[in-house]
Amino acid sequence: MTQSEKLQLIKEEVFEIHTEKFDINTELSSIDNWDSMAALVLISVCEEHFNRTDLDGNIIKNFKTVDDILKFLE
Amino acid sequence: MIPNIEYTIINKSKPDTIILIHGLYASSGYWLEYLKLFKNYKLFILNINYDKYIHLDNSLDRLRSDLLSLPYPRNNSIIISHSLGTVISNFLSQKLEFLSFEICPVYIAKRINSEMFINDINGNMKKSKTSVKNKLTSVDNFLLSMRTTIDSKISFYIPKSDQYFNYDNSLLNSYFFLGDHYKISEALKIILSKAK
Repeated sequence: MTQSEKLQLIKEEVFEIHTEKFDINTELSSIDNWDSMAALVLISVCEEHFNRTDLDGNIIKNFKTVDDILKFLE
Repeated sequence: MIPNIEYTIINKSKPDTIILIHGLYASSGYWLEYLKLFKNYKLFILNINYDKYIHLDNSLDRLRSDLLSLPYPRNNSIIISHSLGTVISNFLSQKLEFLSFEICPVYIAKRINSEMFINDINGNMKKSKTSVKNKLTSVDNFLLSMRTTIDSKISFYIPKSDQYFNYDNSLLNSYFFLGDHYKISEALKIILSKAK
């Protein structure tokens, strides 16, 4: 999956954003839908699409931007 | 439009499933801080928009029907619920024959310190006091009509110091844990040790 495809997947499945500006520099704190429920969905998406089962709440707490999520997935 | 009930599945490869049900003024995200405890289980985590049901016609029928339409894993599944969510797991355990571990089971409790609860929710969630108070009344009525029988599939986990409820602790299958209405990690550890 390319970076662009990952970005699109996270945008739509985790944040449920379809139209707003959204790129790797977007700060998570600026996204209305970013809350503990979205964090759970992110964990589920990482497992399902990237086979990553090591994401947890403590790691997520350190994510500041969308780029931090993408770096985790590298 | 946001659906009335959503679900998220985590740890899909694990054979044993725990269905998690949150309370009022919470979401599926309530369980985030406890996920580490559940690493050996598949988690089927409900997100219930209680608000929507309270305001629907035939709300109980809709809720029951929506709950039963979800694709729960049926093998080796148990339910863990918290607060208002215990009413939901009480219902599901009767219908689906799942064991139900209910933490802070408000349907066998009397509300105390309503004002403190309203103030706390008001402070934590920036909800207006009137809105919290109105919802509290609606929810209490809703609760009373939702509860069903209590049998051996259900066990209760009662905090030693709940700031908002007094529980009927005369029921069989009641266990006490060190914590309060929101600090429930001890209860989860006890439940998981029993579920092994």
